[in-house]
Amino acid sequence: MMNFLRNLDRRWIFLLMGVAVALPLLLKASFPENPNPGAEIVFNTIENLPNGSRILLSYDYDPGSQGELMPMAMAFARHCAEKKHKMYFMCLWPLGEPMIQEAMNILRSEFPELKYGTDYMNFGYKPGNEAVIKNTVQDLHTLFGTDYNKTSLNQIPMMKGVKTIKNMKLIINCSAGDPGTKQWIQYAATPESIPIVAGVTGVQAPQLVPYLPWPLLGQLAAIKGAAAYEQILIEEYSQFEEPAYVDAAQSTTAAKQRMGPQFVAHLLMIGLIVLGNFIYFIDRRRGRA
Amino acid sequence: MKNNTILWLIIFVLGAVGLAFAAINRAGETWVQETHMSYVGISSDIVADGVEKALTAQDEDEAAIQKAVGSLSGIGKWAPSGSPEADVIVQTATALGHGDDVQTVEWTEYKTVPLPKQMELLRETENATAEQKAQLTATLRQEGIFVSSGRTIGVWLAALFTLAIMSFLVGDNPLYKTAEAVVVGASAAYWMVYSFYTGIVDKLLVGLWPGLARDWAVPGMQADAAWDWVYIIPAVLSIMLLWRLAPMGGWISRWPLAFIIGATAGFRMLGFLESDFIVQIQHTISNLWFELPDGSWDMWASVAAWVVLIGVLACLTYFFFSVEHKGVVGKTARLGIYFLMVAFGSAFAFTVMGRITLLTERFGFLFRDWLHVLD
Repeated sequence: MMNFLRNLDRRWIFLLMGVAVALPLLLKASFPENPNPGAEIVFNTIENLPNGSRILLSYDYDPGSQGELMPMAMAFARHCAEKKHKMYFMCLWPLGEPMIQEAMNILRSEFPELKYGTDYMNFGYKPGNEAVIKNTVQDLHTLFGTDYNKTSLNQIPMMKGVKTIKNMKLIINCSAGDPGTKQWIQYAATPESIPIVAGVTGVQAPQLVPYLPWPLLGQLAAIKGAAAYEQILIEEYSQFEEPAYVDAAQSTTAAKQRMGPQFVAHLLMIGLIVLGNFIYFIDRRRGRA
Repeated sequence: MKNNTILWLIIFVLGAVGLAFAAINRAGETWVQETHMSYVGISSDIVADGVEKALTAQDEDEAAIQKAVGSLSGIGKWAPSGSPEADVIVQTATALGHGDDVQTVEWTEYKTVPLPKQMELLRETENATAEQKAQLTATLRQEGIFVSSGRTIGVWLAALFTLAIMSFLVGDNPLYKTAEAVVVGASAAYWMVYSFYTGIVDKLLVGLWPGLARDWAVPGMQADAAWDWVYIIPAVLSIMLLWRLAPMGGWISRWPLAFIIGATAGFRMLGFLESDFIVQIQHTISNLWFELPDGSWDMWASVAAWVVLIGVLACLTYFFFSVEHKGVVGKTARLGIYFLMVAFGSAFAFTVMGRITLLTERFGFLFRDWLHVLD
């Protein structure tokens, strides 16, 4: 047995991990989710802004990270819509565009009273990474000229009085890497003192901790952060718990549903680490290592 | 038989069983609902003409025009056919003498039926006789609901590519290589086309030839937009950059390259200097004593601030190689290693969490959208 474990083919571990993720998913295992302080800060930042505040939402991720970021991106859009904030969408990744369209679909179907151009709009993608961010600070009209639908910005009612992102009360960034939250902090939030909150992938989360609590007011770290945010949103706006929202293509509990497999997979990981160390110490004691 | 052969044999047998199960379960079958859309509208030129007339309105007739154009400002230039807003648009165009220029745009939208409803439809058609099935299909067709072959093929392709990529876990194989090549090719093409339109067309062409850009690709841009000479500079730099492809004079491309490197370096240095250097130092040392709203000592916040300060100093000592790591310096450097280990552990744990989430999302797609075993 010890010999089998010592020479265990890693493909068995892959299989175990697959089962650990698949089973809770098939059994719909879910665990109670408690709001964490990070998610509370992010929620309160958006919640405490006066209704109708201008918010820039930059969705800087692509389908490769949508498992982690899509739930929080959709939760941000729903929360802002509930608060009647003016939403200005944009992205620094070419494949971020379809992600914005998902948010637009939610706004069109769940908030029909909100109108494109008056309550929300989409600048679309612009190449240039951090140079784009720097330009958003200087002049949005020169940078974009038109919105995603090629309508002149001058003809969009909610652009009246908006020249740069300094006219926004908050930046919300969903980030999967570079360019992303770090660049928004470096080129917009820090030099211009614009508050920013972010939802980021697990890989990025520890790297952004030094920017807390200023200029990064709060961050949702990976799927755990998204699940906590969804929980707070549901507690405050109970209609999001109704089947119409839960069963929607972009569910209001998407992140919470993904926490069940997460829990079991983490148990497996801990078990494997303990087992690996156990074998190592046994071998060392016997003088084999 | 070799271990690898056995493993592949098991996978192929499981795959065959899975595909048979998928076929029986009508895997990937996607229902859509078609909606006929019809909008009535008038062009920007007519509105501009109306605004001009309204501005010079003198008599009662012109006042009516003014009122009509004014009513447009609340509804825009397009409205769903048959709606009160559409009537206003038609009345306005007629009042302006452009009744014949009212345009009607029609198209059909196909929206995916929500998953619970799809599952319900699948169950209904599964247990029905051939006659009942035909009747149900006809009824649904009247509501505009039907199985979309295009989207069904799309779901199958997405599922097969997902499995092909996952097959790398067993070992490198042709299926994985094919899927990888498709991903790389499709992504590169998407990036290239999208960047061409958003960079070259939307910026360079709009800046240099606004009229051409408006007629060809950016119909919504301002009619009176003038060309901007500044865009000549990036245009020339772009041509110089592409010169390296020419058989002679490749050195010309070094100049724009030098400009890009210099500008990027300076640009990034400024960003890092402020947010990653000055602000970080300021936040690390500026506040080490925290109080609660009632004035009492906030122990945890204060301890956290001190831990950050000690951690920063210890890690800096570890990377300070001008003094030999012995005695106090050695011990501090050792402490720095512990802090670094904690940071790496935290980063690794977060990465694992992210990867598990991606796996969960893909399994969710396979079970829900493809195999229909989850609703």
